[in-house]
Parts: sequence; structure tokens; C-alpha cells
Amino acid sequence: MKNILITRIILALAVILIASIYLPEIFWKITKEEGKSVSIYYSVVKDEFAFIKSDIRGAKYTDQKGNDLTREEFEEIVPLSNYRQLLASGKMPDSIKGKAIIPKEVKLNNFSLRIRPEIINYNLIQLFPLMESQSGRISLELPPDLFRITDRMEFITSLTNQIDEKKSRAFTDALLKEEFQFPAKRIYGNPSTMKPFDEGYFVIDSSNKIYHIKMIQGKPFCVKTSIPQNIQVAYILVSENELREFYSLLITKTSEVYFISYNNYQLIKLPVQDYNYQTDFLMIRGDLFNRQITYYNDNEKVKSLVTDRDYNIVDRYEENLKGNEVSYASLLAPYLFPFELSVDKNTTPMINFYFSFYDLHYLIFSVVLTIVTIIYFRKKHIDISHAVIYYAMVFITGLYGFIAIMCIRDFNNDSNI
Amino acid sequence: MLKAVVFKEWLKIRWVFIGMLLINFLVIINTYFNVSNVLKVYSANVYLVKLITYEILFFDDLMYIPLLTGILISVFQFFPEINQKRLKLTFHLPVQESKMLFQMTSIGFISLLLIFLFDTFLLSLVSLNFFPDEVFKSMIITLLPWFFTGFCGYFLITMVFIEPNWTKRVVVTLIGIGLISLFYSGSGYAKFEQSWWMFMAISSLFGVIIYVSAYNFKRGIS
Repeated sequence: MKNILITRIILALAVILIASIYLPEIFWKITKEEGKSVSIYYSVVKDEFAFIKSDIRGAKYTDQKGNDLTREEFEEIVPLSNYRQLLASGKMPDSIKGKAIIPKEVKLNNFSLRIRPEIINYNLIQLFPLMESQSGRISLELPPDLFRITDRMEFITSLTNQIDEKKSRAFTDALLKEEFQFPAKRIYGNPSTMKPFDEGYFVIDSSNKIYHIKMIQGKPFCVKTSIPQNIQVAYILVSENELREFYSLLITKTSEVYFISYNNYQLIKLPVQDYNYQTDFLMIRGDLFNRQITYYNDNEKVKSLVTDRDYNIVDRYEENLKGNEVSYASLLAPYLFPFELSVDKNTTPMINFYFSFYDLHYLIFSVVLTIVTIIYFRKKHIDISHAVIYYAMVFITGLYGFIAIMCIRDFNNDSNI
Repeated sequence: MLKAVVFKEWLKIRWVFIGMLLINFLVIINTYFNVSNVLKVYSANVYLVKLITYEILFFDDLMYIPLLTGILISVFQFFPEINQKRLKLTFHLPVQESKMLFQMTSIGFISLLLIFLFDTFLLSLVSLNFFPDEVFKSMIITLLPWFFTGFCGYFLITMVFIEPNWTKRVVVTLIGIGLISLFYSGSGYAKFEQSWWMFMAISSLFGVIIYVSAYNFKRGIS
């Protein structure tokens, strides 16, 4: 049992590990504050931003000057996002900025795209349904097979779990003709049947070229796009829209945001700044007149840009969502806890150990706890050579280390074993 | 001596081993029929796309079975030792208590390993029969943390039995529950893809902590 010291240290580390996960979790649970959210719209009528600020009491509508609006007044200054309600109540203007308003056109031009970091970090099983893009039917249908792209493109018939050799060969040959380098690095698509039409998949081959793959009347449609090979793709959000202005939204690893346009896959750069795809929630709204790009940083900061249809910035807005209020809990936490460990976080569905260090404020509490530990060990007449490692543990890990010491409590006789 | 220990431990756990093997087998057979029946009602492509998109775990009946298996094997192995006060005698044999405990827990550990390998083998047959390889690979990573709970549950209950001090029993139980809960974090397929090895390392540390309790037991701290 000479290793009892090491075993005890392992026990202490286990306590520290568990304490650093659960104590902050319980602390934040107890001190949780009311949730607030803000939705930012752009009024084409007033050429300024308009807001819906919500909390548990309900929603508050305001204009950019902070004037309270009724829901109806709000809808009237943001007519394109609320066109169905305004049409129903007969309040839809006939024209805006001299342009005649035709409901069909409003509907066609309205779109909304949302990307959360969680979606970007998702690890879905890499099997995809390739729908028929021109079936002649009104609604889309799932195919009887799923595909993978490894050393070739393979279709696996779901019913038999067997590879459809003929179809696999046809698509593999079509890809090879376009100089596709197997295997695929990433495959992005929108495998939903609840969309107006299907644009298939954007696939990154092993040499970083981006291909567009779909199926037209049972035949492969494989195109090497003109998207530069040096673009480091973090995510492609494929979104089929009747407007047919862009196939998808492309986000790079440097957090640049582009549309992949229908014009020969040319990239349209969106003027976002300080956007971080790993932490921010991105929302893009489009209507007859503008594009509005809004990104929320961890519910702390929100930025919104409005551009014209040529993506020139028209207006911008920035707000610190937390304002000047600082909660007692967030002031107290750095003093109590040296760090926080969690196995999950809201920006990724993946389970891992996520470490977050506050600052050195915890050292004040840590010094006090170390002194208490020294007194405790002295009272127990524990040899300094054995105790020093525990002192260090409490000093470094603060409250967690102290709890570990209190859990073990018995440190005697190590030298006699 | 080793042979005698193996035989003695096997005598204690053989029925629970066979029983749990049977329960694991029945749960997986149930999983097989669940999938097979779904595929008799829904078309395979719709089910498979749903399984992937909504991350439906077709084998989720098994989720808490490894934990139950670990706990029961430990109860059957160590409850008689404590109840009939045999462990004190065992630890006074001319073999170091850590070595003796290592031999004893190895039997439980190997039994669990065999049951979990059996589970993996059967579920692989189910998965590969109905679904492409990708589903099988994701299933294996999803299963790993559940199996780790089995080992942690085994060591936790063993520690609770061996530990003579009640306060420490409570502490160990809290640590164990806290640790085991972590293995059930997240939902969907292969969420431990990047971290399963870290969780495995933590589970094995849990197997080491047991010696503190054995040491306390030998010294009779209470």
C-alpha cells in the first residue's frame, strides 16, 4: 500500500473534477436571471430599426428612438415581414418608396436564414438522400436509397441494405469526369421534402474543390463550381428558395459569410464584421428592398446590418444586450470559483470537457482556504512533507481542492505504510 | 492462490453473470424486433432518414442496462463478503490487500467486459443487418459511455461495500453518481466522438480510488 498517497491524490482529483462541474452548475441554476430577448427589424417605411423586446411579461414594440408602439403600429412600420397580417386587416400599403406592392412579389422576396454554432458543429451520420430534382411532381419525395462518398459515390438501398451498383457507377463516373478527388471531405445539403424544389448537395472533395451534385430525371448532375479552392469552408447552409438568387450560404473558417449565387456559383460577400461562427447566432432576412444581417454573440452583444439588394450597407445597429446591469452572481462567481468545467455547451452538441477560467480573483478565497487547510493539518499532526501537496492543491484549485480535502479527511500514517 | 480466488469469486457471481447476460440478450433481441417491426410498417428509406436526421437511437432500450449489470455484479460479489464478515478474513491472508482486491475486482471487471463484448457483438449484427456501416460506427461510439457506466457502477458499489466509514460512503456515492451522470450527457449519435477516451481514463481512475477504501477497511477506520 505504498501507493496509498497516489491513490488519495487521485481521489482528490476526482472530487475536484466533479466539484468543478457541478458546483458552478448549481450556482448558476440558483442565481439564474430572467431571460430577455430582442428581435431587430428594419423599417422600410421609416428607414430605421424597430425592435421587439421580450421577457417573461410579454413583448414590447419600440422604434429606434425608444418610443413604445402598439403591435399594430409596429406591423405597419415593418410591413414586408407582416404582410399577411396587414393584408388580412386591409392595412397593407399599395406602394412603398414609390414601388407598387404586389403580395405575390412580397412573398417571393421574403426569406429568412438562421445558423447557430450548434448546427455548424453537428456530427450527423454521413449518409444522405439524393432527391429527384425534376420529377414533374408538385411535392418532393425521399429516394429509396442514401448515398455516401468515400472512395467512390455509393448508393445504398435502404430496404435491402445493398449497394445499387448501377446508380453508384453512374454518379462516380460523372464525378470523375469533373475531376472529383475521392473521398469527400464534407457534404452539405438540405434533406427535407418540405421545400419548394431540390438543389441537391454541395460537396467538398479531398483537394478542397467544391462540387454541386444533384439528380435530374435519374441522371447525375455533377458540376465543379467556380468557388476558389483556397476558401476554407466551415459550413454551407443549402436553402432552396423560389427567388433563386442564391443556392446557399457559405461560412468560412475565418468567419466570412458568402452567398453562393445562381450566377455561375459566384460568391457574394456579405459585409459582416466581428462575426464568429463558433459562438454567434447568425440570422439573415431578405425582403423586396433590403437584406438584414443580424448576429448575436452569446446573448451579450447584437449587431445588425442592413444592406440594399446589391449588398451595400445602408444602416447598422449595435447593442449590448446585458446593458450596464451586472448581476451579483456574475460578480461573485470569479471570487468563489477558480474555473468552471462542463461537459456540454450551447454552441456544440458534442460532449467534451470544456474548461473556462475566470480570473485571478479566486486567489483571495484560495489563500483563506489554504490557511484553514494548514491549521487543519497542523491539528492533525500531519507531516509537512505529506501535507504540502494538499496545500498546493487547495491553493491552485481553491474551493474545489478544499472540498476534496474535507472529503478525504484521513491523511494519517502514510509514512508507516 | 489466484486460482482459488478466481474460483471463489466465480461461485459468487456465476448466477448473476448468467442472469445479466440473459437480460442483456433479451433487451437486444427486443431491439432487433422493434427495428424489424418498424420496417414492416414504414418504408426503410423514410425510417433511415428519420433515424439520421432526428438522431433516433434504435438501441436506446439498452441505455441503463450496463449500469444495472455493473451494480448487480458488485452486489453479488461483495455483499456476502461484508454481510458474513469474510472480507476482513480475506484481507488478513498472507497476500497484500491491494493485490487481493485487484484479483477480486478483476473477476468482476472481466465478467462485465465479456457481457459488454457480447452486447456489442449482438448489436453489431442487428445494425449491420438493417443499416449501412456509418450507423454501426456511430452506434459503437454511442454505446461506449453506457458501458463505462457499467464499470463505474461496479467500482462505486464495491467501494460503498468496502468503505467502513459512513461519511465516506456518502462522499463516494456522490462522486460516483456525479461521474455516472456525465456519461448520459448529450443526446443522439456519437456525441462522445472526440472525448470518449477521456471518459474512459476517468472511469479507470475510479477503479484506482477503490484502494483507499480497501486501505481504510484494513485499518478499520470508521
